[in-house]
Amino acid sequence: MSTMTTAPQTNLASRLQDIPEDAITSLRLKAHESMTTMGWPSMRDEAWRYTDTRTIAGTEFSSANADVTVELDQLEPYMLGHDMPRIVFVDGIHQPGLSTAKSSKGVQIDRLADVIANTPDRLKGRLAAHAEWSDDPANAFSTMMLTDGVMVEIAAGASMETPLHVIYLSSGGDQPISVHPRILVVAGDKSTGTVIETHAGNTDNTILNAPVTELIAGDDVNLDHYRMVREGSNTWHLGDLAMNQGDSSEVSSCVLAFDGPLIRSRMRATLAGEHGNAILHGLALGNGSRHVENLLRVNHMVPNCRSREEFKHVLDDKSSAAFTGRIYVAEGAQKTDAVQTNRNLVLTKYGKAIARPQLEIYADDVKCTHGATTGELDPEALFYLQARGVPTSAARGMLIQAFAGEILDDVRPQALREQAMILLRDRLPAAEHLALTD
Amino acid sequence: MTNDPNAMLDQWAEQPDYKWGFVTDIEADTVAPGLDESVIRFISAKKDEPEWLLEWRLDAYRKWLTMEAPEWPHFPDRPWGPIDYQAISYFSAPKSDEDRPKSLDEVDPKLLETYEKLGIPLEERAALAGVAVDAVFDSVSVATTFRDKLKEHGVIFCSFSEAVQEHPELIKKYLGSVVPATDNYFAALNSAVFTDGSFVYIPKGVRCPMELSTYFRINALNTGQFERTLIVADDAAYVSYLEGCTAPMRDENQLHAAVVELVAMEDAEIKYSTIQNWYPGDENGKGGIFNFVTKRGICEGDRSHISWTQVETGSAITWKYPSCILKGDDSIGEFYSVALTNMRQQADTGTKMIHLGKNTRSNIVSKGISAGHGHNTYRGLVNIRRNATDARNYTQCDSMLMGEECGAHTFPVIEVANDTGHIEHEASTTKIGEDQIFYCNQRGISPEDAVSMIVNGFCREVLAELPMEFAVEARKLLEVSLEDSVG
Repeated sequence: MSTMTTAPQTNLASRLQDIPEDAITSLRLKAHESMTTMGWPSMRDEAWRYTDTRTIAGTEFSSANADVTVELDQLEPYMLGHDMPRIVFVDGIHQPGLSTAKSSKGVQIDRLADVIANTPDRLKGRLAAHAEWSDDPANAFSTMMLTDGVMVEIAAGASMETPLHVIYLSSGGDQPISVHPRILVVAGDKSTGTVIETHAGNTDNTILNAPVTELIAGDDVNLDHYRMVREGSNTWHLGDLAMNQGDSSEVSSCVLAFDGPLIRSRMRATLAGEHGNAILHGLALGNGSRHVENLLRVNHMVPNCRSREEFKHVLDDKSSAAFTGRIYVAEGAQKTDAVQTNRNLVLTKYGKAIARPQLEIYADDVKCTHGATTGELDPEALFYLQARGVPTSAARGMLIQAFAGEILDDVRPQALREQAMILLRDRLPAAEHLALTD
Repeated sequence: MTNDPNAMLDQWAEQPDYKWGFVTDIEADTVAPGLDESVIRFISAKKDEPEWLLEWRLDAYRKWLTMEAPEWPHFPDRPWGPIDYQAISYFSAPKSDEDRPKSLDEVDPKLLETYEKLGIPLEERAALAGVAVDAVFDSVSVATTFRDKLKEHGVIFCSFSEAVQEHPELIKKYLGSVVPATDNYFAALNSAVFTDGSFVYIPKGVRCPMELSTYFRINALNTGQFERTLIVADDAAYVSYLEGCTAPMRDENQLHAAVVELVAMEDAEIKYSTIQNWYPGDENGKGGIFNFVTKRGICEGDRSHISWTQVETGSAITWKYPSCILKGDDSIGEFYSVALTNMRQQADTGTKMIHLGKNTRSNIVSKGISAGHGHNTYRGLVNIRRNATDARNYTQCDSMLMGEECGAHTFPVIEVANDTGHIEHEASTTKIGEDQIFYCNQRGISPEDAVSMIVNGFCREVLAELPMEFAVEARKLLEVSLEDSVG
């Protein structure tokens, strides 16, 4: 599939050997095999056309130092209130002292390391079953190095009372490190729940973060997932998400991309049961020379399902964003109702937006639409506000906030919505920031 | 005739007999199948070409050898192997090459008969519609009409071979200037072995007095047809060019890899319309034409305008992306397309709009209709470069599906590199509603007419862009496909 452009990491095999043998060793070996066959892709590969992985491919990563300690106040800016149950990892290493989440009736929350060691049967047909790693080097790499993470299992009929917050904090060190976060959520029939993940770091160290999240929903499930990305200035984020849904289930996922030089999110939703509803949302704020990449695929495998995708990019400075969304409707998946939108707001002469909204349809009785727009702030709206005495900077701020707000309004956990709103204000150029303060 | 809309749609999807499948028996001066440098030298010598053109061909050939054939489209239900380029004969000219006919009377009556069978007799059509026809039969032009009238206005409209002899300076200047010889696999092949085509030059300030038209027709067995069309509209010139074709019934796949280049200078306008109805193969996907065409126009001057309109109903596989490079400020590019696939046809078509100049505008309307096991793909690029300030694009691609085994796909790419670009892209997929057909039935309109009416309505925006005679033909073509499959 791919051609390598730079010398690939040579230490993959030795890093794999350093992981002690356990219940998922064979999975790791298979992933390693895929990884070595594929290599890091070049920009000639269709799925990676806009992501430059040359630096990543040429960097020798090592595993994190296990002795890193983090104080609660370092974590504070990323938390969503003290009450929200959380699990904290620093450089991929679990921090029991900072974690507060506990299992409750019907909701089993475990470290993946424990599950692998003690009850590996719980992972059968679940772990790495839906997140496809054979065609994606980032996922293959993450799966190959998988040792820990979080598993949430919601029993049939149960519901999570509060959202679970998983925080992956990166700090790194002198040597470039790679982190491989994993979250596996299994929701039984008629269950509900919310999982929020935050990937954050306040560091200049070189880090590769390759998180993989799998959401497996049974019938009549209501599951919400959010991923907040606030990486450090030299952290490459190559994320992956897979959702698989049963009958009449509604599963949503929302990616909020704020910080980091490269934020790539691959998301794949598979509607395997009838009357399912898949919702994928995303908001990315580009400043500096950030590149944001959203690569989506919604698989309509059975009739009568619905899917909604909405992705918005606000591009300042020299930032760029690429959106690739594919709606796939299998033969026989009649009465499919799929809508996909991508809107790009380019604020400067140097911003760059790329949209690839794709439809692949093999059934005739379907309603599929996609729309993509790219443009600057509406000069008429700007003029309207100015004519009413609103200064230009404030008017710009209001319009940007309104644009992004459409995604943030659908973020259900209040603490997360507010945090995102504040980040949005902080990231806008100074004048616009001023104008936005209440 | 049935009144059940479902049964009717199913029948719609069945193969209509290809009415226009027949072979004219003419002794062709054909070179043995196979391709190497000697074949290219043969073609070039046969056409008495200057040395530079031979070198240009050989260059293209050598580059072609190093290129890989594209294989991007998927063929879910149609096994499709690589083409054996050594099995193709690269030159085939009607025998009367030495003493070309001076008027229609001298044209081989069999050729004229062929056009008769097409239902569009050359002289009749020319007289009725005031259209000059540079009829291409296989690879060499055999009849050119209205030359004198065009000459009065200074318009050059002739076969490519003649242009090489008579206007070498224009050919040398513009050949390959829009589609470089090594642009892609099939363009390189065409550049190496092209046999003939049309050349049009409209001088400054001239509005071409009539619509120019060429009929392409593939005839000799196993002969790939490699056409080369070059149209240059100088400052403030206007031309409307019509291209249409049908092909005889054939069992083996035939390759067609044409290259069309358009150059529009300041304030010039070129309107290029195509109806393509080549043999699509039978209902099992046997036979049919491979139509791999490179079409590109450059809006070189400010305020220039290029418009592509196409109605694609034929060919087993079509890969065709008529494009515009909007280089001049305030230039406009347009693309209107209807593609109909039935049986096991695959149409992979779309456009590229490259915005380089300021205030450039482009408009894309693509309508795909899939029936039977047909697959229709829209693949397009809208690229707005950093300096192309205030560029605008509007794209609409709609698909209509008929039957449960066809497919409709859309793969647009939109790249915007500055903040003043305005891009809108919309796509939708629908089927003909049973309620729509029921509504028509209730009012005494037969299901067949209802489907035809709905399809025509679906394509209206594109058909409206065609010149009148062509629009009639296009509508008829869509109806003919409907006629045999419904009721």
